[in-house]
Amino acid sequence: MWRWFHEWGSPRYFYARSGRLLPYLAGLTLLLIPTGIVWGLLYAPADYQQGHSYRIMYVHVPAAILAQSSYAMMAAAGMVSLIWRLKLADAAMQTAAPIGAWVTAIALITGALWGKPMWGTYWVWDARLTSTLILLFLFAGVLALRQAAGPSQSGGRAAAVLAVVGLINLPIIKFSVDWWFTLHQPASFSVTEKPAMPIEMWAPLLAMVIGVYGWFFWVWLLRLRQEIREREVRSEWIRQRYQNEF
Amino acid sequence: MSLLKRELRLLLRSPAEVVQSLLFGVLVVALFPLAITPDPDVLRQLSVGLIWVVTLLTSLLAADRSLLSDFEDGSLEQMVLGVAPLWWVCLVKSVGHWLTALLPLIVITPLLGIMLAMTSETMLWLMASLLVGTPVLSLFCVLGAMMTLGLNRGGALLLVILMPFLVPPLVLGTQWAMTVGQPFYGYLLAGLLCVSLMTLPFATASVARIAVGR
Repeated sequence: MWRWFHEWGSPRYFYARSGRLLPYLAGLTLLLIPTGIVWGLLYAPADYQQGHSYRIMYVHVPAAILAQSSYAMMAAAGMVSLIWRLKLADAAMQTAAPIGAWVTAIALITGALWGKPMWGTYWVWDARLTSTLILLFLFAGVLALRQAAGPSQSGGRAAAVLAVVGLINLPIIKFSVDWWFTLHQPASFSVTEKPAMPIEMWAPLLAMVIGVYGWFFWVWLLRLRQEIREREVRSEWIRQRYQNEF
Repeated sequence: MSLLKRELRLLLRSPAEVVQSLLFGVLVVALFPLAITPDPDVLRQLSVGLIWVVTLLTSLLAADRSLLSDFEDGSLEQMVLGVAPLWWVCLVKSVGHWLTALLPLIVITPLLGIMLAMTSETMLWLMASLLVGTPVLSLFCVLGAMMTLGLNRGGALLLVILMPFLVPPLVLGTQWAMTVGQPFYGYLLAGLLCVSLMTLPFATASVARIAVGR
């Protein structure tokens, strides 16, 4: 039984098994995301306070949730690659980083677009926005280090150390930003309101959140499989599988 | 101890570099009244944060001074293979960085404070926050410098990598100074220093092994 777990660390078995997962992830994503978007953008009731401009929430909130968890997943992959020296984990971290960075950027951009009608300004230095901005810098750091240090194993290890240090520091950073903000919070508005939503509003949100997670894993697996193909191009099982294409 | 003496001897061999980082700090601080306003009330509000940011930048600039020459002539490799524990070596390097790049700046802070119309009470707490917070900066900067050792455009990369980690000491340090010594931030900053002291040398050591293996 442990053997089954260990096999997940081998590129060959991972490749075969993840291939079988792909259709389900694709189906889940392609089912939930359009449903969530159409439902949220067209059919959910208008907010009594914000009217229709709140609808960007259906993109912004899933992106923001995914931004944080994708960093955690990437750093976890980095930790696995450092401790158990699994090249597959290093490939997983490498492929997750750009996706996570873009999702964070989307969260920030959609948040800014939402901010303009809601607060009258594109950007405000509140705790959550600042923390997400710093998260983007963390992603940028890992990506930049990986790119500069090269695709070698040492480059992967350096980037993994950075990601893990970032993960450990993340609570400290969030804490200090929270305190910084509570000290300077402008009294004119409350940014962190989470109004109770009727089910017609949060059901599409739930669909979007699950759909976006499914999308993340789908894209991550696609990229990871491509990375495996590139890395293992000289090994026997890849040749046999794709021999007609060589 | 001898490691520390060696560090200091190498770093102080050209005192021009120490003076350079000092001068950098003073000049940048002098730029701000020129660029914004000579109004002392405005300057006073900005002063703590400004001096902290300048300290941060100076720390980054000086970060790879001690590491680069060691890397290039192979001494870093010897240290990795050597008898002394690697985390101790990294800690000594951080201490050397702090003593040569940041301590002079702290000593000069009263001068910077006068340029920015700071009250003497704030000045006292600013120096306290710098004394407690800059070692954290040193520890992170040496970690970052070790990560970017020998890479192209390492300097710009250093800021990109380190910026998120330098935010907590920056925020806590400035808050402590600006609230004129409210102990809450002092405790947090001191706690951060302790945690950094205990963990970062080990992280730097593992990165050192990676860097040498490059």
